[in-house]
Amino acid sequence: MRRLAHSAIAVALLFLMGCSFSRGTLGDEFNADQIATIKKGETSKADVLTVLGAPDRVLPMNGQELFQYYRYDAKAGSLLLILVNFARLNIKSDDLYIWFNREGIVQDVIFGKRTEKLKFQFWPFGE
Amino acid sequence: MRAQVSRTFSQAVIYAATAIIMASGTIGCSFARLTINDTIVAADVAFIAPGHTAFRDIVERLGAPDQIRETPDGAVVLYHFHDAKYSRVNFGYLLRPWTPIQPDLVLSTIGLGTEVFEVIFDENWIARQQAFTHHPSGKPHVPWPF
Repeated sequence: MRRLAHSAIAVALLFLMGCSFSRGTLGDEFNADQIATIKKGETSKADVLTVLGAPDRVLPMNGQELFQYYRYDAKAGSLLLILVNFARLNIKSDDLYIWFNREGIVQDVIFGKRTEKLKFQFWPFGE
Repeated sequence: MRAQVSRTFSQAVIYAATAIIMASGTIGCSFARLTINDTIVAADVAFIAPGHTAFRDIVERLGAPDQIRETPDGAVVLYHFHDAKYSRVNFGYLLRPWTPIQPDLVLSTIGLGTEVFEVIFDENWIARQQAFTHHPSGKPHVPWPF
């Protein structure tokens, strides 16, 4: 059985021209400690700007203001064989939303981190 | 400025996907895929009950949305996800060792599955409506364009 596996690997390597792994990101990774410093009913807009910098989007929301921060992460893998190529590019985003009340104090914070489940893959079939 | 950055990123994604497709085209056969975020299906959002489910309940199950827009009666929340599949076969590649020219007989397909899941909320952030956009889902990896 082991000999068969070794033979299969040897044959696979014979047809392998190369492989590649690439990664692209937009924005810095969110720092959980920095997000933890933002307290509902306490932190002001100026404090948020100091900690996180300018938001990626500012949205008016029923008389209130909403800051959105986002980050993208992309992982690409390719398997290059003599006759066949397989490639896959996966992209996910992290989003942080901060609601402010009319006085400019944080009313709510929502953070979603999808990128921790992002994987390098080259097999394009299936899920 | 940030909106420009966002647009630039979208373009970069398209360029990257195109580069992968073009690079893979130098080989006889290639299969590529681009996925953005996890696919959301009807079963994933079956828990949303209009008039009852709050925004925070949805965030706990689906994560933070990609976009929030203001409407006169409340807000619209959008979750984006994409699944593009590309496949290509060059039958002429098999003849190259035996011919002085480099013949090409290429069959290829690309299926762009683009979906958005939208939830409309009232002014108290309780879900009023939900819907998927009706774009076709990505085709399987079959390089037969006819």
